[in-house]
Amino acid sequence: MNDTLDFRAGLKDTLPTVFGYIGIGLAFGIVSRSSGFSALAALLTALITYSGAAQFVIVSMITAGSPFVSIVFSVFMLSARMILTSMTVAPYYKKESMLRNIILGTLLTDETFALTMSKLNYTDHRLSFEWLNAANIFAYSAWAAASLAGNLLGSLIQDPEKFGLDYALVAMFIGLLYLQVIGDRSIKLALQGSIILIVLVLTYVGMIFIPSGILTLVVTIIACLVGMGVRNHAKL
Amino acid sequence: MPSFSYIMLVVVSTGFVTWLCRVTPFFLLKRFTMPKWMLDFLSFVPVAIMSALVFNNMFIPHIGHLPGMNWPNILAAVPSVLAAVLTRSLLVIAIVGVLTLAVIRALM
Repeated sequence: MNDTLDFRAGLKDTLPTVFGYIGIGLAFGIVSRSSGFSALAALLTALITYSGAAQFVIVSMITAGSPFVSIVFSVFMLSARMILTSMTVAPYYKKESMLRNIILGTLLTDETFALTMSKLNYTDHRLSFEWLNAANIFAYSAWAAASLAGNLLGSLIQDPEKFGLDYALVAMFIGLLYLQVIGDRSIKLALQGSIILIVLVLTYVGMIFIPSGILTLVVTIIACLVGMGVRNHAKL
Repeated sequence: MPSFSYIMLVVVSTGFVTWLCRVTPFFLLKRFTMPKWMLDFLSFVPVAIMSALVFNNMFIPHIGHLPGMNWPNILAAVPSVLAAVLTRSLLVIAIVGVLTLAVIRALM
């Protein structure tokens, strides 16, 4: 990653993420096939809902015969964290047109959000429409293609987990977290370390009684509030 | 077997809800400026959400009980962190993580 902000750089910066999209997209395709989703249904789910976790929830809840309203509500709880990620990115595009803002928001994911936060540390806090749009489109295409391929190949791929591809996104978040901690000078290192520890404890304890669908959102909000409180009171 | 039209009803409804979560902040913040406390709050979102997404994958939740440890994922995190510190390249980090986990799963 460097300070280049054109379309090409967006594609290049997103490449590591794409392995993860392929791994998890394939897994979604395979699960959807075994739950009776046709190839077209799997592809449209990837293109329209476009949220990894939400798509797995949809397949399992439809299969379990859950009521329509509870499926939509579960997905809403799961997607609510995107309000936070979009709020964090949006101020950088205030000067772009409304249409461009809507285009970027429509395809923003956890992964392209995280890439964006990392990119900011290389570009002196500038972003461009072309760069994020390239990242979003690359991610979207890889996800749709992998979901379709997984559904079509369904029975041929016995165990996609064997290849460890699903770990690409976890490894990438580890890398992005590290780059964030060393790159973001607006928060002191000790405070960033404390936030990470707080999130670790909250995630562990939260898993005992918070449904996994809203865990990330709840943990993130509490950790941000603690961070704010500490910075304001200790003048860190 | 779920019918195609029911799947589409669910997909379009959940897609709309997800789209609203993604786009509304862009829509509103184009028009309004956030107060300082909100910007202050949001400055912690990257580090908090990235750690949450990492740690989610290190444990296995059992509602009502202590979470289990996802040992393969935890072990694969060690070389991934090393790769991060040594190379700072996301591509290298992703490849190291994937290969390590593939080896761990092959041995288990």
